[in-house]
Amino acid sequence: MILTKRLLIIIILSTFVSCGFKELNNLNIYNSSKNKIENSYFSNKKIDYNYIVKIEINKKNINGIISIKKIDSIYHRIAFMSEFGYKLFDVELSKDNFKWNSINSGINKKNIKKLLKDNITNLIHGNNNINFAYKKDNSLIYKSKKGSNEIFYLIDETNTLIKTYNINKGFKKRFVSFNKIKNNIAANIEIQNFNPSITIHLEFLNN
Amino acid sequence: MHMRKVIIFFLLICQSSIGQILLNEIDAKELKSNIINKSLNTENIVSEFVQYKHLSFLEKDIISRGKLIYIEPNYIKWKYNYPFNYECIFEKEKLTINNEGNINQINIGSNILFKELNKIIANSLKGNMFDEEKFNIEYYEHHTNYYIRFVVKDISLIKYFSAFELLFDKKNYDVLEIKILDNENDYTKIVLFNKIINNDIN
Repeated sequence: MILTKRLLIIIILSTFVSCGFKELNNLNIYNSSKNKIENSYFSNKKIDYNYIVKIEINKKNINGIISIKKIDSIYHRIAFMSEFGYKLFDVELSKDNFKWNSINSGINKKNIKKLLKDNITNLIHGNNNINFAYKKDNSLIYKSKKGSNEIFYLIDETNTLIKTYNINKGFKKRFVSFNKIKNNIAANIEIQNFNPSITIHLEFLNN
Repeated sequence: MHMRKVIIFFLLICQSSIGQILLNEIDAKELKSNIINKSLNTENIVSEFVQYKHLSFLEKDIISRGKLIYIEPNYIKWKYNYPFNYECIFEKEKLTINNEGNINQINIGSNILFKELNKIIANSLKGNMFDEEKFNIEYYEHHTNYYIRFVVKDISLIKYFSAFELLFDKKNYDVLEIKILDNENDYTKIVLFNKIINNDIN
């Protein structure tokens, strides 16, 4: 009985240590009338959001260019290309749907497709409904929960979205950090995936 | 007779509006022979290039720039200097990538895409890719250029590319542009300029 209790305490403690984002500790509940949150960094239909992509995985780098375009009020089109311009995948993303238009056979694998889908969805949409609001220092944090998936949106004192944190079933999955923001374009974006550890750097390409 | 004149008149209008004329068999054969002769005399090519990636859903093409070196029979170096510093060398069955100092070597012997891409680009640079088992080939004439369209019929290639188009200088049969069509909407166009053929390369 004592052993079971100890085991339970160790599991609970290790869960707190391993799955939490330290930035999300010590949050104070905040009364907010806001019930929806938008990521506006890919919202202008007139802009081609082209980014140079550097993916770091197992100390190896994969480079390319990603193009993100808001087509209408419903969906975005996203294509990823190698430096040669060869298209590796082409997808359409709406709030409730993720459609693969094409994918290179070399990466057409269930786990890779899931990772790509989750990263793209987190980068562009996430969840939109706000379930809880918190305040920490001068920042506001909105929590959006959909099933076991939780997304925390960090809004700074200038009312700008600067980071999202994704937690699934209590485990930290990834964060997306929006940097060098000007004219509602995040010129630099960093996505950090945990388990597997994959870092994705995006630099806005203005040509 | 009157009807025939009307048809000829409309055909001429169509031709001039499109700006290119499909070559007849004799002229196509002559053009092909001139291009092959030119390619047989090509030992190396050094050229600057601009790469345009056209995606139908974007407002503007994505532009990359760099320099390429081709040495007969199968060495191609692509050195991008915009928007990234990136270098890759196709040599025999190996692809060496220099990504800002990180060097990575990949064996492409078993990779159909890279193997074919390497072969097609090498042949395109010289202009000689008249493989009628893999392509349906159409020959056109412009005011100042020849233009050849290679529609892919090889099943192993068709999932990667639908067609290639090469634009040649009419005077010297030099390749000016290589266009690789992913499908009917999207393509990659590589425009070559400041091209030097058969110079001493150390």
